[in-house]
Amino acid sequence: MTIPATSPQQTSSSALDELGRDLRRGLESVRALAPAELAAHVLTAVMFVLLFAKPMRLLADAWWNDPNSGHGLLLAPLSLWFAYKSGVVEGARPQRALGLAIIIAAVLFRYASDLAAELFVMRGSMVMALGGLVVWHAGFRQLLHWWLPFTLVSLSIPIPEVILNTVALPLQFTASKIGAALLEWRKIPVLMNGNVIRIPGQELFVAEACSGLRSLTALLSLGVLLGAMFLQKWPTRLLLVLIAIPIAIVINGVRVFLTGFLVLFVSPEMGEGFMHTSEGMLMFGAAFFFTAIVAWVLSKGEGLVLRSTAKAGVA
Amino acid sequence: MFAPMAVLGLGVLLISGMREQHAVEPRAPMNSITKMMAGYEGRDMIVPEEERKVAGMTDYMMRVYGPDSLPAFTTYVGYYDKQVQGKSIHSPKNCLPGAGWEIMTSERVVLSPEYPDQLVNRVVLANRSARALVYYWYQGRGRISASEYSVKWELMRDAALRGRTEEALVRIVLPLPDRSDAGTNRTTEQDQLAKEIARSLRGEVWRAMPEWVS
Repeated sequence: MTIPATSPQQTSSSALDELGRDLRRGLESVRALAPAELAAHVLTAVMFVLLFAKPMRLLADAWWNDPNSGHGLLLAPLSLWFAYKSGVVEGARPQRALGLAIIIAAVLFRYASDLAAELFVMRGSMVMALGGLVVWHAGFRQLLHWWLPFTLVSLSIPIPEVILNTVALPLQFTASKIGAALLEWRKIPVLMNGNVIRIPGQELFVAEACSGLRSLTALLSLGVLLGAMFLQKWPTRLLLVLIAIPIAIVINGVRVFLTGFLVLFVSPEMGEGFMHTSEGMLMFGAAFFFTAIVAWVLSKGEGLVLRSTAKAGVA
Repeated sequence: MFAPMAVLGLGVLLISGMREQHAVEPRAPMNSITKMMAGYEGRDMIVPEEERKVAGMTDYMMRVYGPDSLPAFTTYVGYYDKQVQGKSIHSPKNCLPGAGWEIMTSERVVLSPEYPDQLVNRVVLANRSARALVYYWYQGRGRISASEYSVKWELMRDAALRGRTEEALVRIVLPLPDRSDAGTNRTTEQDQLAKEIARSLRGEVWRAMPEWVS
């Protein structure tokens, strides 16, 4: 899917006009529905809300209160916007049996996850049911057409802690190793013991927050978003998302190095509190910047390849 | 036309009539677990009310063994009579980092060769200059498990089929005195001690856990 680009000439008022027109058109098509069909839609929506009220509430709570999941507040409205902008794919046909099978599976997951007190599956079942409804109404092609909103919403669901920690430990070690190597490069004596880096008179802990994971899901979402907006081919989009992972790790290794350096040469207070958090935000900004640069380079490369392929085709 | 509504509606009925989980009392209070472990007599420790609320256990035993100045080890058994959303066992892997401990190494080990399928978690932790060796596992409903994933699966299965979710988290913590020992082979002595305590605790917890016929 390519997001329809807004041309520079378009003003915000014309975008609003367009939205207003679409809303009016939508209302007219709702009025044109047969009463039974309208009742079916309304009742389906009511049942959906009743069934998924709990995961919806818990997800909103996580977005609002958990600093690791805050990006969901941005991703959810963005997803709605992208779904609206990309609209319905040409030749969309309902696939009733497949759609119903997905909805049934979602309901079973919803039930089972409640029994197992498993939040991730419970929240995931909600996205799955939405996917099932899309397939039931407009087919699998429409679901693929809406891959971006669905991916963004999925990325806004907090990863289960068990998985987060399984991934966090190796990431922590990698960030520690990079940090230690950089400190050694600056001729600072370093002794690494697991995840703890000892420098003269100080001990640095590479906490979970420094592992890169706090920013990793946000960076992955950014990679998906930039890929959808600026890249045209799936392999390059995937490459961008994959490159976002080492960027997060390396940036956090640099953060460990900077913390060690500042703690040693400026003040031990640089390793904690406000300074440490500000440094973290600065580093996330850097990761954001580098991911955007990679997206730009990939889009240029993609353009070159596409042009040369087109030329070859003409020749 | 009404099919999605019907399926979602059935889902609403399913969750509203969801099998109620039984709160299952332990056969014996966790504090009845013997205080003698590896030649030491344990002293009971109190978990503050606030922490108990966060952890959500319905019964527990926490003990410290050895001299006050340098305890040889501590043991903890947290019992949950039923597990529901917001009141279920938290993996120590999630809780310990929050308490300032860093996980240095994490692996699974066999406690005794006669039960090769009963694995427990072995974790080496660091907090500033302090190091600790932790053994922990999940015990209940007829099995011992180290894997957070299989525990979730079994919880779901037993909740759906039997309406039972009672379980205990069992944890042993031993200090590692020499910081340079952390994560190296020189922890062998502490590992042997941990295994001895774990074997004894495993039997004691079975004695206190509710009956389970598979």
